[in-house]
Amino acid sequence: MLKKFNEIVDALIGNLTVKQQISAGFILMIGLLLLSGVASYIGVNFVIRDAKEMAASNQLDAELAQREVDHLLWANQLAKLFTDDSVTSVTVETDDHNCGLGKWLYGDGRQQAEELLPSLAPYLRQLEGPHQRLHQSAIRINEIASKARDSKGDVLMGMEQSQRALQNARRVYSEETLPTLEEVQDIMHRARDHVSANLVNDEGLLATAWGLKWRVALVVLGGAALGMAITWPLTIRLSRILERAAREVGNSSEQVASAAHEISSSSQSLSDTASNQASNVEETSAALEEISSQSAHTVELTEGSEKLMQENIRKSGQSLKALAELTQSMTQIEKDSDQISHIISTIDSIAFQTNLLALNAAVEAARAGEAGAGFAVVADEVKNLASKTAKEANQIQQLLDTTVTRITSCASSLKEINSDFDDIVETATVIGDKNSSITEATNQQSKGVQQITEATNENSDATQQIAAAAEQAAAASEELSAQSDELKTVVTELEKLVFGGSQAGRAGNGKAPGNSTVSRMTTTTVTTTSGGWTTTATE
Amino acid sequence: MQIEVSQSGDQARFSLQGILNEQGAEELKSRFNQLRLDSISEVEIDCGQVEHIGSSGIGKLLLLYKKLASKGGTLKVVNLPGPLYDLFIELKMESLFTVSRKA
Repeated sequence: MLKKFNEIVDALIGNLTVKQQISAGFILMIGLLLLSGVASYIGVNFVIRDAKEMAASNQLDAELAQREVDHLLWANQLAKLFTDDSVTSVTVETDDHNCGLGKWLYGDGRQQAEELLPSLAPYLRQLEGPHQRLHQSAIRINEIASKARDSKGDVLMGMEQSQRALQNARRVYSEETLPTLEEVQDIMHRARDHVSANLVNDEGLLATAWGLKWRVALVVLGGAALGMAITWPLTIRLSRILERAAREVGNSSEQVASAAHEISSSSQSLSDTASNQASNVEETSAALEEISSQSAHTVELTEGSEKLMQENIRKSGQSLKALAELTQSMTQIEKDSDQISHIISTIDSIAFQTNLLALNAAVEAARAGEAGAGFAVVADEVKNLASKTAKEANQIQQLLDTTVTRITSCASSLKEINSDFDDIVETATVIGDKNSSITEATNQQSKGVQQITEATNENSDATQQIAAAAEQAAAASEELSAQSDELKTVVTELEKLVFGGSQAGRAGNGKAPGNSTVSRMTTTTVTTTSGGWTTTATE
Repeated sequence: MQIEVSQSGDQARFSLQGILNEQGAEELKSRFNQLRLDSISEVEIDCGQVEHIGSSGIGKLLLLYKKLASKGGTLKVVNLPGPLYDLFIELKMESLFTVSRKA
């Protein structure tokens, strides 16, 4: 059943935080305390009310009793007129409004009594008549007594009349005053009984007080039971939470100590790594400076080669121009050679025809005889010239053929030169482009090397910062270790709080306080020197 | 590199656009080789949309010039942007063929 109750409470407050649960518990207890206080307050108010009512009842009863006693005394005083010779007249109050009861009955006393107990009003109204008659009887007795006093002056008749008057007065007293007084007393007795019956008396007050006692006891017991019913599971829950928290904090403190140790080791390793890295960065920086210098030199070389390429293009252009003109001239020479050959052929043909003409002239000169002897000489000379011309033309033709052959050879060579020069120009200009690309790439490389140098310098700064961070991490691990010790102390106190002094240390992780890895303290110090990093570690 | 070729009579016109680098020069050479130089006496190359001419491109122009000049033809390189025109002047190309600046 308790388990089921705990389950119900868990379902109700399971989603609340510890703070909310504790607050809810306090609020509940304060509520119960307030409920108990309110119940007690209301009960005490009842008792006070009853006490006031009882006081008013007692006062009213005393007042009525006193007035009854007053009228008994009043009657006794009136009776002295018959029993005491020294009393010759009525000395009591004859006005029913001025006696004590009259003042009360027609004053504030009656009004307060009726406000206190409205049902008393009929009794008081009933009292008015007898009370008035009671005082009127006194007035009548006083009148009779006055006549008796007046009769005493007559010597003969006075005594007898006086005696008769006294007897009348006594009769009035006994027949009117005393019965009326009894009637008044009876009414007042009934009024007092009514007051006693309808207003709180001592027993009523005692009963109220007992009732208050039991109610308060009931509220307190009920509140205590309810408080126990609610706070007990809450206490169990909080105990479990604190127990778990103590256990977890204990484990965490050990983990923190272990982490502090690892951080210290990591700081040591980091410091060593930073030192090695610094050395590597220096070597890298030197190598980069060398590469940067070589890149700058390469850029200068490629820039010079670009100027040479431009000069090469200029000269190539001029050479191409000359080559084109040469080719054109060679072509023209080839054309001219053909024409010369044709002219030589024509000359040879002319020489052949001239030789034929010379033969014909010689034949005709021979036919003419003596007359043609001179003409025969001329014809012979012409024949010789024609033969000589043909011979020369033949030689020219041979020379021309040789020349043409050479020109053809030159043209062929020129074509080869043209082709080779074309290839040279094309290759050279392509090399120029590639050279430009190399120049651009070298420039980019130089910029890249510059960026790498800057990055290396930044890396060097970062390495120094890493070394500094390692030093800070070592200091932080030391601080962390100290805090872990403090945390362990807190855990021990928490365990004492949760499990009690005898069980503290056995609870949670089962390790005694202080008997953990936290006790190890690791200190790492990293100092920076001009030549690099020096690291010392102390455990 | 974009090359447009048009021919009218014995005149051929090349309109170039883009960057005349090594690759563009090879393409231009290929288009030059497609010309029938026997029937062409004048070649005009419009460089108004050319952003850059490398040395290989200039080499191809020189070879075209030589082929044309050998046969008595002429070459005109027109609408050269300012920097390219200055480069051509520096290389004395105007002594070989007609060179004009972009208006």
